[in-house]
Amino acid sequence: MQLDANFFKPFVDGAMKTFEISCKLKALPQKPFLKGSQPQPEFAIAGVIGLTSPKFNGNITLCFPAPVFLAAMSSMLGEDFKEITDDLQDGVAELLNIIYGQAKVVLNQQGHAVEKAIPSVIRGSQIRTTAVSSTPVMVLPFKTDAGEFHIEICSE
Amino acid sequence: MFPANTHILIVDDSALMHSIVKKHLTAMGFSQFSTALDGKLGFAALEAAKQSGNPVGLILSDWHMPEMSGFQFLQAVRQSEAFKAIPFVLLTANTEPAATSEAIAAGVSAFLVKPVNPEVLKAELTAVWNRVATR
Repeated sequence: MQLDANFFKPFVDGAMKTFEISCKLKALPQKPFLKGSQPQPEFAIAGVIGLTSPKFNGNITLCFPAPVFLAAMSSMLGEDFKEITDDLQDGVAELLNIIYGQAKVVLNQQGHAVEKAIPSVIRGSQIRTTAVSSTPVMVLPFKTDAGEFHIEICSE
Repeated sequence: MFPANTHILIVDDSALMHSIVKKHLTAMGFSQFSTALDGKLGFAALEAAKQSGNPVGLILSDWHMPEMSGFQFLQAVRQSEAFKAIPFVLLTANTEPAATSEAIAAGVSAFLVKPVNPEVLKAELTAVWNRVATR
């Protein structure tokens, strides 16, 4: 399936709404690009969720540099976090779950029949996300006061 | 609104969500909380609270959880003589009409869509309390 703006928009809208309500952070969407065509920040934590429908098989990854994730979590929980702890890492799954849930509703209204899925968390220093297929990965960058975070959409 | 001393059970498979929901509820003046990571543990928490003499007066539960989902937990609560009258609010990222209808048919008191907006949470809890108080 060819990825188009109608497919991305629900994720962009979901991310903006989720960050505004949950994290009190404005997430401003930047110009999307194909992975590899531009440099990306060093990510410290990412959440990955499979997206399966009759029209699309792939995954959605929500990637954060440490300062952006810590700013989001500090705002969400009302505490000043200095490092990504085991307790805190759930936050990336929760944010992705909410964004995915919102996008899923819109995509299903468009006839995608997206199934429910459970996110996984990847954590470490300098995480690099690499597509397993040769299909291009679309990167949706967002700018916040704390820095950039990215959503990557990869189809199989 | 629910009295400030209402014992509130928060059920979510994310401990982080317990903290977030507690933060919102604490800001509304509530202070008595129990938490559980799935519906099965939530049901055990209801029984434990009843036995301790401080029964739960409000349940806030996530929908998607391992072991026993929020929907199954809702069904179990509504089938229980001891707990069936407890107001039950489902918190979920799933806003699809079919799921919402299922939850309404099973007796959910309110349905809140994540991300949880504190003002919406307060308004929904007030509405639930008004319905409970006029029963």
